[in-house]
Amino acid sequence: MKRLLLTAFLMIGFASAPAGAIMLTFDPASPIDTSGGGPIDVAVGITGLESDGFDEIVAAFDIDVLYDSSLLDPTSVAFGDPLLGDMLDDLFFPGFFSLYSDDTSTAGVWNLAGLSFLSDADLAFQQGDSFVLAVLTFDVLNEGFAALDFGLDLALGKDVKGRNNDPILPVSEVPEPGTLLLMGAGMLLLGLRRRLGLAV
Amino acid sequence: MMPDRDALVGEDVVVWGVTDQTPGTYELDCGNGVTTGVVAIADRSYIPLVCNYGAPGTYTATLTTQALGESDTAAVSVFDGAALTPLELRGLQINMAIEDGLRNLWVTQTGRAAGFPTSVTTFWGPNFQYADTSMTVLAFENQGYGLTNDNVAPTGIYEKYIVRRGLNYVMSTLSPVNLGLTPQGDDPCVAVSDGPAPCVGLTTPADPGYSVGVAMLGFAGSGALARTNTEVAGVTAGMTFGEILQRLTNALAWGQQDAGTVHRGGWIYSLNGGGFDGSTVGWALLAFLDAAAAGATVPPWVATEFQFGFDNTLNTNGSFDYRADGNPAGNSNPGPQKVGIGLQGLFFTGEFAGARVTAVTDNINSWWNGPGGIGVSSWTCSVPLGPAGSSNENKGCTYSMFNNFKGLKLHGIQTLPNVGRAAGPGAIPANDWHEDYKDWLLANQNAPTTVGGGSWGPAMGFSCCGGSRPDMETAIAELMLSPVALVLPDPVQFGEIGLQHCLDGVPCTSRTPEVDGDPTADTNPVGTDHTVVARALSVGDNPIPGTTIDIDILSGPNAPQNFQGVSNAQGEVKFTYTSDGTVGTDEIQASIGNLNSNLLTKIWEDDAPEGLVCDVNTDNVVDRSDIQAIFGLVGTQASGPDDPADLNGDGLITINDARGCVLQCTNPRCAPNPI
Repeated sequence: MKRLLLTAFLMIGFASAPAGAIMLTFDPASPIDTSGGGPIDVAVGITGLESDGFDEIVAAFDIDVLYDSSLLDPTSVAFGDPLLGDMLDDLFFPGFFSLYSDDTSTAGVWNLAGLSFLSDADLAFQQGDSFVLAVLTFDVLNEGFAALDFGLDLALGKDVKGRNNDPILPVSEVPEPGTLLLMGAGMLLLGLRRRLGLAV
Repeated sequence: MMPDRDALVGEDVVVWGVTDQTPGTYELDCGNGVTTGVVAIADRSYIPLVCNYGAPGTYTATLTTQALGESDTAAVSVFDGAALTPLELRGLQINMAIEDGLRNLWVTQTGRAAGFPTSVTTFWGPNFQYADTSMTVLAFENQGYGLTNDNVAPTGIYEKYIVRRGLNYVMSTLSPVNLGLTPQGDDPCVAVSDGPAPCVGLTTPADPGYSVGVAMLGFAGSGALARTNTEVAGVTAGMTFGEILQRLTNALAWGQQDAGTVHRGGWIYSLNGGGFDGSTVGWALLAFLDAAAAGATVPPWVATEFQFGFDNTLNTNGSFDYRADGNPAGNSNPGPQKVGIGLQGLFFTGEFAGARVTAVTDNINSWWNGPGGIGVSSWTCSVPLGPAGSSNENKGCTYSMFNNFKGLKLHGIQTLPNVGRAAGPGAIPANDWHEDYKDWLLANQNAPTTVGGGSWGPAMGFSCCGGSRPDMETAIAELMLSPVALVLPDPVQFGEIGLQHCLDGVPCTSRTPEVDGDPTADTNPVGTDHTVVARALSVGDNPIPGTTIDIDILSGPNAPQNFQGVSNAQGEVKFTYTSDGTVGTDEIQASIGNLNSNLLTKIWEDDAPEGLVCDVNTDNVVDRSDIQAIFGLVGTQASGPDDPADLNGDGLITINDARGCVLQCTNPRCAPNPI
């Protein structure tokens, strides 16, 4: 299975993410042009888990996605990376080891929560530098440029948990070019190469 | 020798001592090689020498008399100011100011040289000596120089020659006064052997309407109500200090104005003198508050009666009339000098918050930097206006400052917007009025490094009337530099049980019960809150409000932390802090000035009680069913301190608890136990 994954990554191609801190990202980046109508998919990702000396994981998260409710209307969410799979679940025996929930009851706020039953070591084995946490689907209400942002509050426990259940800091949203999936796959490849001792 | 004292490297400091020998010779040694040489004794009641130390350390100053070869020593702790933090340096400078001020009061005893050492009394002031002396004694007592609560003879120089002899002087001036039911039918003869009415009270030689109250202060502050007068003759011979304080209290209660409507419940110069005098009642209020804190019984009807005239004196704009006029919009010669009395009266009548407390506080604030405040200023205060920041309305006016000090402290008010003082050093907040007063006092003490200096007399006026009274000005400055607005708590009790844990599930209003036989240790999971309570109590367990208490986490995972508060009507200051999540033991201690409490230990453990953490379905295993339940609760409040879903005990179920519980699962990947 690992060989298959590696093959898939090589087929996607390699792209290196810029060095920097761990960050949450949107793809496409904020603001989103809604003039083309909907529905619009937005990938919520994380990157930098292995940058600048980090060796972090995502074990759980509870984040608010803040959106312009005059332009966008949330319709559905698909947790996990559409290409790599659910990185909080066991990639080899999926469907048993992660929990997710979302809440759109407050206009302009889309709460996303995820939790893994896996150990830190298991998560570190399968997670690379970057991957997608969820893909959000919006209907378009009006034309315009819809800003997106993340709502995080350590005091209220709204953050991303890494090793030893410590919050991953700093966490901030940055615009991301439209190559998130490629970059994520590339960095994951590097991570796996290091862990498995493979030459690429 | 003098008490041990502090000094700064390179700055002059006065060391001094006394001897009972004369004639003869002495030699006073700074402890650094500088001495007076052997010289003839000129004034055995005050032998000073100006020293200057070139390096930090503890030096032993020694006074030796040659005739009998006797000597005594005092320690001088010398600090390098450049090596201290700003907060430490400020504390040291305040200590030095206190030490020099008390030395000045020693020097200014009336007839000091003639009466030393044989006289059993001492006093201050050319007029109203019984009042000045009692106030001065209180200044020493509130700086920690008290008597033991028995008849053991004191040995410290201030305890033996100031507090003991000063109280003796006040006792020697008291006389009996017959007390009966008041015109309102109230009985002033409480807590005395010859009560109920009629009974005998005690009164002062002149102007007892205020001076009885002032005379009470020294006894209330003594912490020695079981001590007996064995040294001076008269009506108090054989009485305990407690009985003397009670009979003075009863007389002052009896002397409360009864007749009329506007002035009912007040005091004026003479007992039952027919008026509500806004300036006189300030001393009565302080006396009753001090007496109650010390353990005397204040007849409960006093506050009820006081309320009548008080409401006729306190104005809507927060000012306080000279004479009650029944018109809250009127100006019966009020002024900023008396505004603080309004806060004291509100406290005395149990009004701790509300519009009137706000109005008086705002009024005090409005006059903080001089003329132009709310209402009118009908008085001057004989303030020499040379010193920077001085005014007849506030700083420099002893009467204003002391009334403000007492009123603001009793209500626990720490800052006023007009103070304009920057924050610091340390955790001192911006606009801290008491620190502003301390700044002024530090800047305006007269020549503290000289043998005759240390007073605040030249820079301060006392009140509207009576001219300069340097001894009272210095005594009140000392009182305002002390950590208490009323009297010092019992040092023995504070040192043994002054600080206690508030335990989970136990109301924090009584003494902490012992936990496993140890009342000083308490254990909680990391990440949770903990509260400790410091209590300022007198020997008889009476609460002492208005006491500034510091609570410090001295060591451990959450150190260092400092919290400062002022005790409430229950004498309590509470401090709550949150563990930073680190396992370990904190050491916590409270302090009132130089008085330290017992040490508490707070043990922070990683594990909550077995069987509680994460096992929400109480099946004795933490598995996916528990985690699913906790995940479903994310974003909700915990059900209580023992909610098994609230792993970190912060009262909120979060993703932090959910993932934390995954790490607590009994089996890998939170699998259930095999059936």
